[in-house]
Amino acid sequence: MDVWSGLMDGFVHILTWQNLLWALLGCALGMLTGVIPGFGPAAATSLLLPLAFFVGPVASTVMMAAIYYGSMYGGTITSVLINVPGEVSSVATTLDGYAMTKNGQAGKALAIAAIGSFIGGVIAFVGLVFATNFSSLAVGLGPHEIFAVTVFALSLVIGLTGKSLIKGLIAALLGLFVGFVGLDPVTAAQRFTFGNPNLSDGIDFVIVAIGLIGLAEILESIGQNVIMDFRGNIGPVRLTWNDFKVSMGAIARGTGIGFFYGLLPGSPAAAATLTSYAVEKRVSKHPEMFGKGAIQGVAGPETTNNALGMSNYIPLLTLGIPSSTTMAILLGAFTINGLQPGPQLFAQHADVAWTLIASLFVANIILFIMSMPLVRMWVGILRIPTLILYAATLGFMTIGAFSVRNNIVDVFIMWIAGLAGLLFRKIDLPIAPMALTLVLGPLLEQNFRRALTIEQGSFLGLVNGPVTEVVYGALGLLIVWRIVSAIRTRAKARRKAAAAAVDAPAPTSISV
Amino acid sequence: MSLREGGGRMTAQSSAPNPSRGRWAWLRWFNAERITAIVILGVGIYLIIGSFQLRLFTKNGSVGAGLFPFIVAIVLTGLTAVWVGTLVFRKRIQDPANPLEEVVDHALGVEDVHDADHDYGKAIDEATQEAIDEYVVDERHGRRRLIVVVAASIVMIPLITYLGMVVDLYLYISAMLIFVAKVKWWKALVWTLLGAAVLAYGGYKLGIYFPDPFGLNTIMARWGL
Repeated sequence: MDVWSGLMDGFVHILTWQNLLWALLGCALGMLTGVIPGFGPAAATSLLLPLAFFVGPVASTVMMAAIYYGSMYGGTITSVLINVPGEVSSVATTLDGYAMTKNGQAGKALAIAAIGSFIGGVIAFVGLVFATNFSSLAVGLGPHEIFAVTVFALSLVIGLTGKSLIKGLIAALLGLFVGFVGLDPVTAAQRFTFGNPNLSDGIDFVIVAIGLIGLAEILESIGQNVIMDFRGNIGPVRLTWNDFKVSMGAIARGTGIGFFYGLLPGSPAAAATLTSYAVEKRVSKHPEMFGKGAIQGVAGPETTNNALGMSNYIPLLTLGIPSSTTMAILLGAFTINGLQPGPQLFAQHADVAWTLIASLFVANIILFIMSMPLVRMWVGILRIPTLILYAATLGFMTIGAFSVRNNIVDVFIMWIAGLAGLLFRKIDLPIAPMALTLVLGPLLEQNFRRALTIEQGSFLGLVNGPVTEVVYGALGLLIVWRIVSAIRTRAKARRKAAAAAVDAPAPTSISV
Repeated sequence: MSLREGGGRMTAQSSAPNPSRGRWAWLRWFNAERITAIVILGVGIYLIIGSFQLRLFTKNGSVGAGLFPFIVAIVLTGLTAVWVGTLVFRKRIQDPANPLEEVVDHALGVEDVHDADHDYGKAIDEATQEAIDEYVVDERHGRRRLIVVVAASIVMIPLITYLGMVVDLYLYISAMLIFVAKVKWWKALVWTLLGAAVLAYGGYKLGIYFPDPFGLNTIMARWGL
């Protein structure tokens, strides 16, 4: 199936009233959860992931994509109105978005965010459609190559997550450990179940994702005693021609930056949006206005964020590699319905793949319609005291965790994962690598075993063929680069500390 | 995004008996990070032993159920040992002049951005500080509230079997609203009743036929509660 006919086929599938309804519902639910203070796309999608069990594969992929988009814009609302970004990629939006709110221009900030997101999303969509051609290149990959590529992509993600490489790796390995629990798929041996029959079927990814990401987020906010409700007025939600003219350049540049960053597995979204912000400040004739309510400071990062969200699908759909926590959760939604994103998806379930791609376009339009005229309704949610929203969300999570397998034990596991997630946040153990390996662990092990069986137990045989040689070579270079940069950073920090000690003779505190 | 100040580096400074002196002094060594590192080290060792018991290779020479976990366990244990080592032997120097900067950089992974002398790094610090000043009211009170929420949840989960999902969640959310969100009791009961009736009962049970557990009370169970 060529790209054009595949896309048309996808649109035919999505443009049924049922699928449009799922997309609409997904957008609404995504915005509803994304607008909960502190809830970003990852937490929102993890919270709503159990819904994927109740609808078919096409409907669930459509709905999850819409939830993703909706939650991104929901996060924008909180960034602009109450200075609380749902996730780090929205931090750049807060800088001028919140300043615009303080200037009585919140409506304008939300409008340019919606318009920029829409334009960025549409242009990136075109790029995504053409990038699907690359999936055919990966169709011929065997277990050796898939294992090597997965390890490489995971290394990229882990290496760029958080400050400490060791902690990132430990988090990833813990995710793999959780995936081991249950019956071994080949020998049917009980692995790490502690003799508990409830663990024989393994620990479901959905349960751990809800706990580790969504519940931990709520618990952290409750623990901080953060009271975040919006009482102000957002002002008119419209733009003047001048606002639009000033923002067009930022939107165009933001699209390019977002699309490029989204192609790289593991590139932090925060870096993309901050790069966009920096670029806008550099090219602006009035850089002194940045931080005080410059509209380009909202247009650029928001466009970047949406274009990045779209192009993030490229590594997922062509190689089956999620490039962020949210993408890992979306990958989980696929696997719930027995689908495995990657080159085989286009070969075996082309209808689902193209419906998903078409649904991204449709979700973008629905989101634009819902965000502009209905923005006051979503802002209304921010007037509800946060703790009431959290109490209702805890109840919803309990039902969600139970619904996965109709088992009370899963609710316990969700709470254990939630408390672990809270602890990991406290000690800066990154969650993203764990979420990725939770999803990719079974695929990794399956291909490792296949490759090793083909090579009759010879580990050297894993590096067999030009693709694996190149991938492992690149992995080696990545490790060397990471070590060298860590040494350089440490040396720089030492020099900085020494210089600070010379400048300020007063003793610095030492934490033990 | 986290709005915590101090980002995980805050440790308990006082408790009874005072651990900073006398025979309890060694207790000061344990903080959340060190305890977690030691627990993960234990998990790694358990994994190594468990993997061996699962067999690395089967009798006919094919890959066993324990081989991949064994490799993971070896790497996990090694890395965690390094982590524990750094926690034991490294003294971390903090600059008290700008702890927030470090937290924000860490959350964003933008240390290089600061290095490049972009002054929007400072703007992020200011924006985050503003958010902390505005929204984080009293952290100690928040922690107490967190304990209440966790304790209530621990009680709530096993009660699902006895009360049924709908009734149990009704009581749980009502309690959360009354004792945590400080909503007036009658308002909390009425709003939660409406929510439970529309969403949990109407939406889940009647809408998508969600098979949530009934309570042990036969009359309630007859009504699907």
